Amino acid sequence: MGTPELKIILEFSAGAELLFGNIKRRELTLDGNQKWTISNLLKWMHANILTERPELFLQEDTVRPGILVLINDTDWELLGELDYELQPNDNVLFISTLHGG
Amino acid sequence: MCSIGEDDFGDDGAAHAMAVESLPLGIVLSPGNCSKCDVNSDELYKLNFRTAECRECFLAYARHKFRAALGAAKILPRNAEVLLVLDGSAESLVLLDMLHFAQTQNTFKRLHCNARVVYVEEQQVQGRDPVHLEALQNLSTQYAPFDFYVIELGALPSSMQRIKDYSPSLNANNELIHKLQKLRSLTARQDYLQQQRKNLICSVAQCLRCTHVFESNISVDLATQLLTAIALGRGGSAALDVALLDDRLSGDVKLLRPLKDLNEQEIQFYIHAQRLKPLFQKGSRYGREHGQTASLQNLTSAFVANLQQNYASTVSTVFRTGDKIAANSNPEQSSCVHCRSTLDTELSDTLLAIEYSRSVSEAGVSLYKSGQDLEDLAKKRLENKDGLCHACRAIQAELDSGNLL
Amino acid sequence: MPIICKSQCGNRAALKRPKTGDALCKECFFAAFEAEIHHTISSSNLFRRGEKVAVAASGGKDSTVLAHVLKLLNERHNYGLELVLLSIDEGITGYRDDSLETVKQNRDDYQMPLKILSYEELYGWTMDRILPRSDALDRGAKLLGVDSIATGHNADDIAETVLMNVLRGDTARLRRCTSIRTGGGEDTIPRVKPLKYSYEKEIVMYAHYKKLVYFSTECVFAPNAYRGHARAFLKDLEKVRPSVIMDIIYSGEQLRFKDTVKKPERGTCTRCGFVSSQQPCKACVLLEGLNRGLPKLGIGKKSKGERMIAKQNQELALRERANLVKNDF
Repeated sequence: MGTPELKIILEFSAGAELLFGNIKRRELTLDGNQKWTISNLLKWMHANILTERPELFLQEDTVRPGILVLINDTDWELLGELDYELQPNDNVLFISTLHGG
Repeated sequence: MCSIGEDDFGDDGAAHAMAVESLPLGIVLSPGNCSKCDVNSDELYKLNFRTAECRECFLAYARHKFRAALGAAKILPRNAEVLLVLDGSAESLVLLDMLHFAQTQNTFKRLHCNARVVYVEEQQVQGRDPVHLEALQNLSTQYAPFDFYVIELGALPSSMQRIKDYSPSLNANNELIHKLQKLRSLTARQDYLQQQRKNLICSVAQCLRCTHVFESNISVDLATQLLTAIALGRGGSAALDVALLDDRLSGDVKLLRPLKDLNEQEIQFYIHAQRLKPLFQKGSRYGREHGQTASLQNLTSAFVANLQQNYASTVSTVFRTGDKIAANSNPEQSSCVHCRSTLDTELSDTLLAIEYSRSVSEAGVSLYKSGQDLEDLAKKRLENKDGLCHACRAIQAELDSGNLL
Repeated sequence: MPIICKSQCGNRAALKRPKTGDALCKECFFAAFEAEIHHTISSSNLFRRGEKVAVAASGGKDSTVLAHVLKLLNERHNYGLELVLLSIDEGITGYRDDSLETVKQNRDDYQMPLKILSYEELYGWTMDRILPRSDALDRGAKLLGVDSIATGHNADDIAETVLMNVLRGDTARLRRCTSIRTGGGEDTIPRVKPLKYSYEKEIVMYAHYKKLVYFSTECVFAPNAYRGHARAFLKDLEKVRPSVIMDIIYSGEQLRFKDTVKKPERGTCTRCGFVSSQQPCKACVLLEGLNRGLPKLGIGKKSKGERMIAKQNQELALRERANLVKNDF
């Protein structure tokens, strides 16, 4: 028995990628032994991949208002936001509305 | 929308509002000669935008702002019956002290009115410790010409007592607390409470046969109040929320804000000069303990305070905006049964758009098939059957059960 | 437990609508989003049959969704409009190329004619940053002979502008910033905002679900710090109570002003004949500045500009007199 893994996909668009090394899509393998909520995921992102100005992405313990979060193409506001528990192969997309339009 | 030099906004950005300056609130007093009367003093009061002056000259200046507010508009009839609202804040103590001074002058400068003081005890609603009765009694002795009364927020106006007869009620179980518990958001609770407090003060004024109520809001309170009113959808009545005179109270009672032109620094200097002891800090208002992001009101207050730190003219600019707006008032139009603001009788496209949005959301993809007139449905929903204004309806909508009134 | 679409169509909801809190599936959201814009257009009589309408196109999310929805509604409800894309090339390095590429993509996707006007064509100068785009749009629209200009201002933009104008004490702009139609007097081309009641969140979700291509890199003229504060404040408010954006627009519309407050007077510029509340208009002042070699003219205060011109005139006069003296001998 190998260590359980939790594979998910992170995507960034409309300028949110600029804060994450300008990479629009990442495949992540997280430690499957622990429960992963969006809240944990944000902490992990902050510690590992949030390269530019974290205050433009995070505010207190959540995503800064104005950045939309979609989980498998569904608005996270319908899924419990920070408390949503990640499932294998979930796709989490962050879209900024704060950049020029 | 990228909006370079956008027309609605202006070409110069907000450059004129951007003079960066700090407004030190700490009291810095130094010895020297007063620039007004040239008398040497150990403590010179240096207000921003004024030269250093001695205690007497400072007090005269601050008191003049109070008198000018009342005098310029000839808003207070001679020998009016006045009820001064004391909430224990620094501002309310300054108001009390200024009114007392104005009444005890022997010259033509004397302010002719008959004043009483009511202390509004909010501890039950707020769940904080009750005020030290001793401190309150000391105040009533210090300002002996005034009769002091105490009323508990949420209690019946008839339960008001003279301070010498008052003891805090132990029964933390009034209807207001129940109502607040039924409101889902802090935003709605704070908005509702503000209205209830006003109603209570009005009833107390009527019981004591007072025609005028003095409240101690200063410029930063009113700047915050203006932005809050706008965020709550109360734009039509925002002018009255920040004006010297608010005449929305029932029974022809008029609410006055004679400290509206004073700022925080002047309050602090005045407190120092007169050795006043506030009973509470300002930040102890209902719901503040839940943090900045807990309600629209808390957010707005924090926003104004932060902006003021970086752009010193913020409060005065917003405050002056408040001076330029007028209430949407027409004696022929009916008023909101809750907040008594004039109801907007014209059909608002914005409110219609909200109701239309509700209708199309319910219809979804079948909106073109149903043959239903969705606009008609939206208009019907908008028809004012309950007599509430848009903002009070929003409070009603957050009430789990029962009626707002 | 998945949340089911409010319309009872049986599908799983995809997003929560900020305006009302209703949860809708994708298809019902598309229908509702488009129907609301149609309702805004028809109830405010924004257009008349046969009109030529310029869509102010920047390549950003708002103008891309606006172009897409206007084309769709024009066909669905038979508005009978001739739609064109109008884009102003501001000559901002870097920003321009990508945003113009996106606008060209809009042109191909929606099969609408596109006119790109550069500042150079309009004024004979390339001017990064100094002239308001609104002025350029007006001039461009006049060149194209359109009846109105549709801009992509959404509900968030309007609410933010209400807050900004309260913060700045600008009652003149407070009066008009919530209007769905501005201009349209003598000699001006009306501007309309069909997305006035569309939330930014929904515009972005619509573009995402419909896979519309838009351009979104930080504009080099990103809002100044002060406007940034107002925007962040609005987003914080929206998080607490999403209906706040409509409530602020409503408040803005309900504000009345004291009679003593000066109303702005709108006239036409004596030099170029364009609408302006200043005499001469800002564009002419800026152009004069460039022609005179005083590029700061028109950027600071008017009185300062007048002093600069006066000073230069004096110097010129002195030099001329010196020349005369020289030539006398």
